[in-house]
Amino acid sequence: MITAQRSNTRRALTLLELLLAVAITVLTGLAIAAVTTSIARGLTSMNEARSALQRAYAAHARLRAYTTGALAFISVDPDRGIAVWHNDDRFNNRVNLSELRIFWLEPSSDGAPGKELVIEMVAFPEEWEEDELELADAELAGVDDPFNEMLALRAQGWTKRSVIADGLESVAVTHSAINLVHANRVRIALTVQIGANSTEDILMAFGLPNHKAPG
Amino acid sequence: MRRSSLRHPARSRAFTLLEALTAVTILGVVVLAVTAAITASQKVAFEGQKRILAAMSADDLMSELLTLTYDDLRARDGTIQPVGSMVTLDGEQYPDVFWALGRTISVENVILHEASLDISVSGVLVRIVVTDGSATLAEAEVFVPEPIA
Repeated sequence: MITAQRSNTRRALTLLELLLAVAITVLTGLAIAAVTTSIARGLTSMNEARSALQRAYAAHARLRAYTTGALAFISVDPDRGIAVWHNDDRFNNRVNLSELRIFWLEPSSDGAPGKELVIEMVAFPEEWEEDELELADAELAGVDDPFNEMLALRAQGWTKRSVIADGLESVAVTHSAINLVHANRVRIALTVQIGANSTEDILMAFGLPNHKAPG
Repeated sequence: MRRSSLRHPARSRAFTLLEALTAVTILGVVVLAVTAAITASQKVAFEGQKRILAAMSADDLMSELLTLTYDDLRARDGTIQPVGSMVTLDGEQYPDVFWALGRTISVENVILHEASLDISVSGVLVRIVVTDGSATLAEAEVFVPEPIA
């Protein structure tokens, strides 16, 4: 009896009410989805920017560590990298192969987007005697291309390499001297990738307090 | 009681003003809490980014200053690069990402005394402070001995 009376007092939604309810639900859902997506995008973008900056900082610290005490930047090739005269261990005012460090800008070795900055230096076999070392550790003549020289040594298996930064797009070197080898201050401009489609420019200034140009 | 229920069966009724206000307040508090959390995390992230860039720019400037002669170095005392106007020693402008930072250089004459050896070394204490205009974000300090004439 009670059930029968209750059912009489309840009525179904009209089509208009139902459509209105559906429309409100859909609009509310879309609004919530839009806000959530926007927050997620913002957080992702923030994380990517932070990650890019951390990579830039790591690159900065490692570049500085590998160039501390360096004597001169001797060559820059936008497509290949930077060649640095690191020390004059043989005290001859010339760049010997063992005193050379190359910072290569190469496609990422693990297939990730962007390029890697790789340092490569000469590592002659440890069992070599001094006369063998002297023979192999040739002086770099003015006409020699330090990049090709390092490639030739790599082909012999006489170099060691390590990645110092990844996710890079480009590396450029600027200075205010007559030419690069005479610059005791250089700037390295790194373009770091942020996510898939954007980049950030970072400037690094390097002083070479021990600077000397090769003879 | 039972008759009353029968006479006024369970009909849906509108929200009272108090219920509506409570619902709006709860919703408002939730929205505000989420917004505040996002804003706070963005602020922390931005602060971290500024500190990373500040450390880099302090190292850079120190590295450049150490290429100067002793007298040139002393002449840099009091140099101020205002926030958003950082340049390298050769005048190259820093990119946009450094917009929130400025640097100051102080060069102070000091004499270091090593009591155990009973020697004194005169020189300058080079100090770089990187700020965002309100707080110090990074500092670098190096003692440069006076060259022997």
